[in-house]
Parts: sequence; structure tokens; C-alpha cells
Amino acid sequence: MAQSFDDLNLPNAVVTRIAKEVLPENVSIGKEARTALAKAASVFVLYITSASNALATKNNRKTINGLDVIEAMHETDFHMFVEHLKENLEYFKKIQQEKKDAVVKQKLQKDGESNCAASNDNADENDIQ
Amino acid sequence: MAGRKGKREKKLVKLPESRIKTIMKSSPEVENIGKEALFLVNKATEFFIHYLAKSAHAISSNKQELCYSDVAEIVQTNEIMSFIKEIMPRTITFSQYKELMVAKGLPIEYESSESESDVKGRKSNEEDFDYFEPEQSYEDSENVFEMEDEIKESK
Repeated sequence: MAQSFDDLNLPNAVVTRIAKEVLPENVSIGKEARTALAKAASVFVLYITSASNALATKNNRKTINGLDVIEAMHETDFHMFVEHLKENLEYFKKIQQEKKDAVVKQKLQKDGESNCAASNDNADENDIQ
Repeated sequence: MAGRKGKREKKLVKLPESRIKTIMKSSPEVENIGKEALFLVNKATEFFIHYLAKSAHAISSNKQELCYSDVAEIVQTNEIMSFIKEIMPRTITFSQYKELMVAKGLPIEYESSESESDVKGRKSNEEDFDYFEPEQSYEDSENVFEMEDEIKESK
């Protein structure tokens, strides 16, 4: 299965932008350094995925879940990321729930509208009789 | 893109989700990836970039520019980075490279963007190149890695 080299690499520009977030404003990042950061980040994705997947498999699951990833951070010695990741996860779950609620609300509104229309039609028929 | 209105939402992730997913799926035994897992890997990678960039800058001799050699130094010395040690060797000088290639009987290759005497922006008098190009394919990088070993042995 041939895959272009680029498909398995994170985009340089985005990685550079992220790196600059933690550097003083005037600092530039050399061309080769940018590529190196992008490559390192891409391999990091693979590394964490592999560790997370091993944990999922260990628990007889075919789907990698959030807890697998958190646990993988401990296993790969990236403990320092765990607290922030957990905070972000809570926020993410909140957003997901809000989206779901919005969809349900919209659906109820639509159903409500169509029921109203139906009962109006019935009323007209009754009047005629 | 559809959906963008006047109100600007603060983006929760910066790296493209689809690309992260492609990379994850390229891993042999992976079957399915939950939404939360995808989000966390994305976020963790952001943290990783922060960590690597910040550490490299801290040990950099030139605080105005972050170079490949700074990144390589962190990767080579920090235990936690051992998973990328092989693909990010320290750089060697062009003189050392020439010596090695001659010893091996291999042709000397020049970087297309720099000539032997072009040392733009570098203060040292030594011919000091970033001789490893990370853009090269993995096979090429293996050769450079061998060079590093041989240099160590020759010392």
C-alpha cells in the first residue's frame, strides 16, 4: 500500500507555529530544525499510538480509548503531560456533550413544529363537519 | 469552510485531526480509535512539540535562532527521547564527512543549497555544516548514523 511520504508527516508550518508558542517572540527556527521538529512529532504520534494500542489489546478491546492514551503517557515517561491532558479531556467531553444536547434540542423543536402543523390540519377538518 | 460565522471559536486543537488519524492508522495492529483517544493524542503531540522546542532553546548557544543541532542534542542526551534517537543524530563537520567518505571509498555529496566554502551566518571559522538533512529518506539517514558511530570509534 503506497503512501506518500507527506501523508505520514505532520505539516511543517503548523508544527513551527506550535513550537513558537513557547519561545520568545524574536526567535527564529532554522529550516532543518523545523523539519526535525515535525518528524519528531510525527514519530511521537506513532510511539504513543503503539503504547496505547498495546494497553487496549491487553484489556481485550479493539478500540483505543482516552484512558489508554493517558496510561500510555505514564508508560512512556511523559508523566508531566498527564495533568494537562486530563484537564483538556474534561473540557473536550463538555464540548461534545453540549453539541449532542444542541442536536437533540434542534430535533425536538423540529418534531414539535411538525406536530403543530398536523393538529392544525385536523382542526380544520373537524370544523367543516 | 462551512459553519464559520461572526463569532470566533477558540480552537481546541491545532494539528490536523485527519493527518493524526492517518499516522495512527499506519501503525500495524491498530484497529479502531475512539474520539477521545484521537483528541488526546493530538493534544499530547502539541505538548511534545512545546517540550522539545523549549528544551532545545534552553541549551542553544544562539538564543535568536533554534538550529537542528540544538534539537539533535536534546534528543541524544534526554532519556525520554530515546525513541527518536536513531533518526536525529548530531551533526558532523564537513571535514569529518569527507574523511569518512574517502575512507569508505564513497563519493562525496554536496548539499544543493550550500557549497563547500559557503558558511553564511556562521561565526566559527571551522567548516561546520549541518550535514544531516532530515528531509532525506530513512535509508540515507542510516548512512549518516553510521558515520556518527565511526567518528566515536576513531576518537
